[in-house]
Amino acid sequence: MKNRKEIEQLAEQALQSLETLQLVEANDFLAAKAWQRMQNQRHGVPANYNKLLLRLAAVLLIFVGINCASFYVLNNKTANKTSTATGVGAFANAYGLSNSSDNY
Amino acid sequence: MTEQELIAYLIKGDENAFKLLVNTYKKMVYNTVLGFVQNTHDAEDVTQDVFIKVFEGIGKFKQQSKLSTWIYRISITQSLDFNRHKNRKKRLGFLTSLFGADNTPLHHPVDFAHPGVLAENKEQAAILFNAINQLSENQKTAFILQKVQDMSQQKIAEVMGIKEGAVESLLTRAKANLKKLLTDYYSSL
Repeated sequence: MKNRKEIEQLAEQALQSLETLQLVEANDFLAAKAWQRMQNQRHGVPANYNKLLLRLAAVLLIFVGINCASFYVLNNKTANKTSTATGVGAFANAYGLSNSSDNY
Repeated sequence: MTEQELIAYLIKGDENAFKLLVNTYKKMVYNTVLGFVQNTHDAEDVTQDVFIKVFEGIGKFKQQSKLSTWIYRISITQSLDFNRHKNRKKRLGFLTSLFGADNTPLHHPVDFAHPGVLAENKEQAAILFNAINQLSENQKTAFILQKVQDMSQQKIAEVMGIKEGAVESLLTRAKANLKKLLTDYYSSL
């Protein structure tokens, strides 16, 4: 545990820590990079536009996927039902049974 | 090339004039921006944005002040905008961390080691930069311009578009607030 005087001394030292701050050199290629970036912004599509398109494409892909899956599942169910009905008919024919409920 | 000639070439959209502008003012802009955004990569990006803004807006520059003063203003505005955007993202980050799988925060504030600070002062400077981030935008601007750019109160007043007395008041309050924040920080250790 530090006493009040020590704390104030540390705070003062921290405040003085920027007194000897030296200026930092910027990137040597900054001008070329900034120029290139400006050209890209002018002639290319904006970055946000690209992001929006990607999101829309993803949503569309999911939508198409869900539709295809639903179609496949529903189609398969119909096919199963048909085959079951065909199977019952074939069984009735083979054993001379009628599948009509009106025949007593 | 004089400042007037440089401005004339910039208005024409001359690439060489743009490169001359960047090479003349890049150190000034980069160091100002670095004081605000406190990250070397972000500072480079924001510095590029500043020069693009200067180049695209040079036609609106009325030459009522020096070109450097106008560039300082754009640097400060861009840096503050960047910080606001980053803070919004941080708040969102905090929300995502609330719902994180392992209950650990996903976004930690990073201590900034300014590359221009002497090695023996790095730790204290990082603590000071954290405290600077808690100041109001005006106090922060005045303090950074004075400490990082070693600017006079008169020049700070010119850049911020306020009176010299107001700058003095901002700096006094900034130092008092920083002292309190630092005292609280060291007391909590």
